Amino acid sequence: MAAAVVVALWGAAMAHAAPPIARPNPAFVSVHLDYVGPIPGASGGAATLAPLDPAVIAQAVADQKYLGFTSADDLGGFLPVLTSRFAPVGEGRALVGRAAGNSQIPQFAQAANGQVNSFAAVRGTFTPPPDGGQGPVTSPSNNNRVPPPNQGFGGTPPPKPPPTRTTTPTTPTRPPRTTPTTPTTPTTPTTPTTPTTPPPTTTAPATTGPPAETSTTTPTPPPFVGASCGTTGLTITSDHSTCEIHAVNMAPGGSVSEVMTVRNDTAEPFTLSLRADGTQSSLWNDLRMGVWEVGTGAPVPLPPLLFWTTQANPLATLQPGESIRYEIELFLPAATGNADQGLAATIDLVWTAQG
Amino acid sequence: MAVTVPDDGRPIRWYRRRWLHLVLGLAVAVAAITWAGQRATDGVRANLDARLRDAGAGADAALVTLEAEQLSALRAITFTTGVGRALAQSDPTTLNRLVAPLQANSDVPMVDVVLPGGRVELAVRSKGAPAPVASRAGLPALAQAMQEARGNRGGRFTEVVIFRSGPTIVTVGPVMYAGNAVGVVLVMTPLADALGRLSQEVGTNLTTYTTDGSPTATTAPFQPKAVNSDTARALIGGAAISMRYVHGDEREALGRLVLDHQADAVLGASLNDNSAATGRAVRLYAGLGLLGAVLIFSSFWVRVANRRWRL
Repeated sequence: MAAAVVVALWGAAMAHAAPPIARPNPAFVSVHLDYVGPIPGASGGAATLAPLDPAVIAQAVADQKYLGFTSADDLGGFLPVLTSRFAPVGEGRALVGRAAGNSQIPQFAQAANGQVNSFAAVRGTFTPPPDGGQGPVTSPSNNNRVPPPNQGFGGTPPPKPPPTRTTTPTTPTRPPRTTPTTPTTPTTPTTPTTPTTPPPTTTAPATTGPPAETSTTTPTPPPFVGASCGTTGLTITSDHSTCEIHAVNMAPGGSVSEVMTVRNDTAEPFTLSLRADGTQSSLWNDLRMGVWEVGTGAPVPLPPLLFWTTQANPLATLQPGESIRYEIELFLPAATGNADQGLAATIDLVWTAQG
Repeated sequence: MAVTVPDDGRPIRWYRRRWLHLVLGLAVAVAAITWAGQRATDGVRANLDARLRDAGAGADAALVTLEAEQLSALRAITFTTGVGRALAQSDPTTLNRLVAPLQANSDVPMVDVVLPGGRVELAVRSKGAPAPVASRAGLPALAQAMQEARGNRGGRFTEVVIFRSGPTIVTVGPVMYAGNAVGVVLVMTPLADALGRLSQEVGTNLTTYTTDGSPTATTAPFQPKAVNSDTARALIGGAAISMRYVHGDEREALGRLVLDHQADAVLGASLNDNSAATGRAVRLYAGLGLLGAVLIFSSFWVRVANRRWRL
C-alpha cells in the first residue's frame, strides 16, 4: 500500500514536471484563401502600403539563394538531397504569351546584378500583343465561396438534407468570468460509400452545392431565424432550427455546414475557444472540420476533425458586446473508403469563454 | 494402414519411416506458412517505412517554404519606408499603420516589433494566436540579429524558440534607421500549427522532440513516448534515421527538423502499422492452401492404394 502511494506521488510529480506538448490550433493549420477582401488597414479600412526600400531586392535574392539546399542533410536525414534547386519551385501552364524569344516589353531597369529585371512599356517602344490589345478581358472568377465537392472520382455531391427540427439541447450554466458552454451539436454523418449508387446528375445544380456558398457571400448578418443555445453572458445562435448539424447518408465528397453567431454579453473581454468532443470511432479519423469567420476565406484544406479534439482551440478575443459569426463545415473527403460505410458520429462542440 | 514390416521381413530403415515423413512435411509446412507471413509483414512494413521517410523529407522541404514565407514577411516589414524612423521615435501609431497590413497580408499569425532592450513596442496577432507579451528580454536572438545586421544575411535567421506559449518558429531580423539597428522584428508561427499544416501536406502525424528526447509538439491525438536521450542526441548530431513504435502500433521514423540548414530538433513522422494483420491474413491463406494441397494429394494416394489393394 505504502509503495503504491509512493509510486502514485512520484507519478504525479513527474506528470507535473513534464512540460505540456503543444498541439496545433486547427484554426491556423490551413491556408485561408481570400480573393475578395482587401488588405485590412490599421484603422479598419483597406490598407495603403508604404513603399519598400529598394535595398530589399538584393536582400530577397540573397535569402532565396540561401534557402536552396546546400548539404545532403537538408532533408533531415530522411532522404539525401540530390539537387541544390530552390525548394519552393513549381511549374505552371503557359496559356498566354510565347515560349521563347525576346521580350515584347523593353527592359527598364535591373537590380541585384541582373538577377531581378524590370520591363516597362515605355511610350514609342511598346510592341503590342498579336490582337493589338483589343481582345476581351476575362472578368475575375475567383471568390471566397467554398468550391463544390469533387464530382469526379468521389461522385457528385449529395443533395442537402433538410434540417431536422428537434428540441434545443440543454446548456449548462457556467460562471460569468469563465464561461465555458457546451451547446452540443450532435452530428450524425453516416457514410454509405458504395460506389455503385452515385447520385444521378453529373453537374451540380446550385441548390446541391455546400450551404457555405450562400452564407459566405452575405456581408451582413441575416435576420435571426434559428436557434439559440448559449448561456449566461455568452449568446450563441445558429442559422439552423436547432444548434445541431445533421448529415444523413453522407457520401464521400459530401459536406454540411452551419453558421453560428457568438456574442459576448458580459462586461469583460474573453477569449473564445472551441473543442470537439465525443465518443470516437474510425469515422472520426476521416472527417474534416473547418471553422472560419463568415466573409473570410475558408481554410484549404479543411483540417482533420481530430485536430479539434485535443485541446480548447482559441479562435478570437471578443470585447463586451462584440459578436462574431463562424461558419462550421463538416466534410467527408472524396478519398474515404468503404470502411466508413454505415458508421455514425456524434460530435459535441464545446465553446469556452476564458476571461 | 501403416505397414511397419516389409514383405521380405527386413526391418525398415529410419529414414523410410512414415511418421518421420509426416513430421518433416508438417515442419516444412509450418516453416513455409511462417515464412510467407513474415515476408508479407516485412514487405508491408518496408513500404510503410519508405512512406514515413518520404513524409519526413517532405516535412523538412515544406519547412523551407514556411521559412521563405516568414522571411518574406520579415523583409516587407523591415524594409518598408518609415518603419525604422517610427521605431526609433517610439511612434506606435505609425508603426501600427505600417506593420499591421503587412502582417495581415502575409498570413503569418504573430509579429513582434521589439526594441534592443527587449521591450515589445508593437505586437500584431491574427485572431486566436497566442497573446502578446510585454518583453522579449533575454532572447539571445535579439542580440545576434543586431550584431549580424551588417553581415551577409543582414542579421536575418530562423530558429525554434520554446516560449511559455509553446515552441515557436521564429524568424528574426533587425530594423535599420540612419545606419544603425534600432530594433528587431520577430515573425513567428507556433511550431504545433506549422506541424499541423505540414502534416496535412505529407499525410502522416508529425512530432518534434528536444535534444533530450522530450516531445514538444505533435499533431498526433495520442501522447507520444519520449525518445531515448542518447538516440535524440545522436540524431541531432547527424546519425542515420531510426524507426520505433511511438504508441501502440504507431510506427515512427525519427530524423531531424532542419531550419537554416541546421538541425534544431528531432522530427518524427508516424503512421499506424497494420503489417501484422497482413501477415496474419497471408499465414491463414497459406495454411488453407497447404491444407487443400494435402487433401488433394491424399485423395490421389487413397485411389492408388485402393487400386493396389484390389489387385
